[in-house]
Amino acid sequence: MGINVDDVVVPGDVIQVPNENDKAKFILGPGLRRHADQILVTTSGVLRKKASNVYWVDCHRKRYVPVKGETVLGVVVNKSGDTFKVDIGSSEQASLSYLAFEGATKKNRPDIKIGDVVFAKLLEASRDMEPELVCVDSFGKRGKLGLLQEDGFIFTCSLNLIRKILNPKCTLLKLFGSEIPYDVAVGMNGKIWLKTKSIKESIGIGSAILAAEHLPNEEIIGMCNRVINNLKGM
Amino acid sequence: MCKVPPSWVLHYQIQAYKKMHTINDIYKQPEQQIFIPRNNRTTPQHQQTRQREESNARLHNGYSTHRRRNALHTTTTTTTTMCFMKRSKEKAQREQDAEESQAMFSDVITEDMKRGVCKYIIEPSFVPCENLTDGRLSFHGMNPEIERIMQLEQEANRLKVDVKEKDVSDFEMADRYSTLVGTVNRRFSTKRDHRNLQECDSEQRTKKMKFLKPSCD
Amino acid sequence: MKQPILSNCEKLFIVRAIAEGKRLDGRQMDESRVLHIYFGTDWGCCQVSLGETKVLAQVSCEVQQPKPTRPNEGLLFVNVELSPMGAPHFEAGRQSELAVQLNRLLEKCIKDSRCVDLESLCIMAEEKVWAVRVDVNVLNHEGNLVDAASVAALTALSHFRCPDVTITGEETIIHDPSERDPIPLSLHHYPVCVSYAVFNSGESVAADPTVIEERVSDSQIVCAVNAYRELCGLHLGGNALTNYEIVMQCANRAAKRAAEVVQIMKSALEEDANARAAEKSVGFAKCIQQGKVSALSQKQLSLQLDTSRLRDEASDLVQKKKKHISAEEEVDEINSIKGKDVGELSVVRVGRGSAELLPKQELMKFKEAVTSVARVGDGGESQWVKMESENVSGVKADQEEDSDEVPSSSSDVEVIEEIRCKTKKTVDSIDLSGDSEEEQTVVLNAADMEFSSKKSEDKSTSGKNIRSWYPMKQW
Repeated sequence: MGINVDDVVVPGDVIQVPNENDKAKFILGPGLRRHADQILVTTSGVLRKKASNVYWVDCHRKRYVPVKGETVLGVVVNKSGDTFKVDIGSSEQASLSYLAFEGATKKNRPDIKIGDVVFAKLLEASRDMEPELVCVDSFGKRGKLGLLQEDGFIFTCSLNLIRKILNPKCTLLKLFGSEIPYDVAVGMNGKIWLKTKSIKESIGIGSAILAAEHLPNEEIIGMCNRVINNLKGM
Repeated sequence: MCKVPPSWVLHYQIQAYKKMHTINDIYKQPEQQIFIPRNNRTTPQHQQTRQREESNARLHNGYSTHRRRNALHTTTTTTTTMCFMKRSKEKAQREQDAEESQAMFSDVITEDMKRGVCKYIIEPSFVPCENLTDGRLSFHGMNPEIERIMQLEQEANRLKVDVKEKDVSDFEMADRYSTLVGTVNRRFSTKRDHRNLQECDSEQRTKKMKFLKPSCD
Repeated sequence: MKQPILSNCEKLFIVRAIAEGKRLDGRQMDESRVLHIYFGTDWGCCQVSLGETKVLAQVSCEVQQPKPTRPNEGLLFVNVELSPMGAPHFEAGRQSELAVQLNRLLEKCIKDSRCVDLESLCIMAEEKVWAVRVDVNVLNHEGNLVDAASVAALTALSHFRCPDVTITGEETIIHDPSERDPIPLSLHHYPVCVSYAVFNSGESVAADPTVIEERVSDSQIVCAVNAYRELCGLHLGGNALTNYEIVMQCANRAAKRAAEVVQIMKSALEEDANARAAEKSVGFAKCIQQGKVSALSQKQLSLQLDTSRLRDEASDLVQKKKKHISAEEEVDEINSIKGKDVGELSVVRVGRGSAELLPKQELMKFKEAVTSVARVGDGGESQWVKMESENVSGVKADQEEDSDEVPSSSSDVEVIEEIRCKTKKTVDSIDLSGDSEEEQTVVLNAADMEFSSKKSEDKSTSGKNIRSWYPMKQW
């Protein structure tokens, strides 16, 4: 009995990939690993496939495991020497050098306090080492990364929801953007930072984002419109 | 070598000793252990190291051969130290290193890894798999800096899409084709037509470029 | 594991929101989360959920020698256990500051208020008494553990039954539950903890704070109050209060809330007793609910807008769906296949922020639950009028004695009698009837019932009837 794409899989399942072309390479996403010549499933979820050679397992997750290159939201919990310790929701706190900011030098340190929220990229993430964050790209430019303002609000959700709202097919964030001025940072670690002009709007958008978890994309639009009407009506 | 007494004798001896001394005392006075055979009298530490060496040699048999080869090398050290032998010495060193590392990781490295062909690329992140967008957005001027970057990205995306769709855009094609129409027409036209055309052109041109004299005869 | 620190923006946001009178989960400032009480199959085992905060309490007893200073009194121990199950930063096996505080508060509330009649636990003076032990386990910590723990402990105590004992001369026989029915503990009154979080140095007070509100607040006030508005304990935590009026306000509000909580508790106990009497299945299986719809009504949603209009629209949407489904059913009927699994769906609104879609057969069950959760005072009164019209004088006389025990739905006189007797027998301890030492209790009981039923209309008049040492204040 073979496993097809969009089937439910459990750890230990073996996946057969079409083997007609030896040269073709396969990309194994999260939840899959290669053992000898087999592809094994390591988490339970739904097997997904994209563009004939990309496979991954879509699973429900709440605990973040750092992955190199992902952008995350973290709370600065400690300053020690020349690094900040940042809580990104993983098993270990990540380190963020004070030099990893745009225009930072040894003399000119970034003004960051304990309890501040940063939007940063994971420079290093492996099982055996402390994850390392940076707030600049390879050209030393800040881009979209950096310290987030204090007058926002941060809340946590499941990692699935993050993937759902960041999917190009999901219009939730843009839908709100067309009606309400707001500023948002979505970290792959299940944290969302939100800044609007009023408390009510923050709570409204936040609740809409959280409610989107169990709604299909078509219904999300309706739900958003209701929330927007509600916010505008009062 | 002195005669080994039967074990029970040894036992009684030790029992008798225990009455007088503690076990530690016995160890402090090795001369009194006359009944213990000499080849057993090596210190425990010494025995341990020897055992370890043996087991090591047994564990990876590459180890002992490597030692033998090392000995061979030492005979030629005098020649290799010479300047002109430097390269071959390096080579030998490299070979030796490779062999050593292979011996060390022989159980970890599989055949596939040696061949260096792997059909699979591991991608630990969902971002490329699901084409996730960047999670930093701003709307209606809440954060002008982010909005500027977003706009730039959008434009870049649009250009990329355009390029992907057609190598030559419609306008460009039409432009090009219209000029082509002219040149092809000219080729098939008679001389008279050509001249008429030129005159027509020249009339138009004269308005702009007055300093050029009409070249007609 | 250490508790993750709060970011500055969370703190700032909460403080700003509270200053505007808004809360993250869309509650009003003096609104509590929904309280549910479920019973296990054992006596004295109950689980209380206050929103997403869940607490389990289990009562056990053993025979011990009494203290020499109080030779004819039983012993009561309260023990609160915080395990990593409740929150990742709780450490197992180590008494944290919070655990000690909780323990002490519960002792204050239950032990020091002398709500359990310890003398009735005496088997033989100076030799043998019952030692009753309440173990409270925190299953999930989402704020306001004190309230949940106190309700759980108290409900478990009133649900608990001690084995019957007979003394024949020198011999003491402890009867097995199969031999003789175990005896419930006698409780004089029901003190419950009600906690408040104070923000902006006393400008705003939030009832039933969540974790984040607890952490951001300046100070916390915990009042242990019983249904007769008697203050049994008071705890002030955090920064010192500069405003004494807040304490008075909180005590007043807590008294109101305590009456509600005791009503919920009583009806839950009554329901359980009825279920046991009818030999229906009891146990924690009940707390697993099925058929959740409507993403906006998820209980665990930490952010919620207070949008009743939104909810109405959602229910409209579900109504439409219902029509759709019933149309389908008609088609089914034509094909002579009754779609039982589809069932008829209808929307039930359960408290705030949650409309639920339930199949028809479950709906009946659900409605029962809802009516029993609703204030008994209201239902009882309307029922009472009906009885009068039927001219059942004998029952009426009985009812005047304990008006709070009116059965919720029945027209047959005999049946009413029966149910009433049954409830009285099994739930004797929660019935605040005349066997308590204080004579005033009965009077106050009636007044209290009146208060809870009519509180919306005439607060001030009913307030005068109620014994209180502090002036009644309008909220």
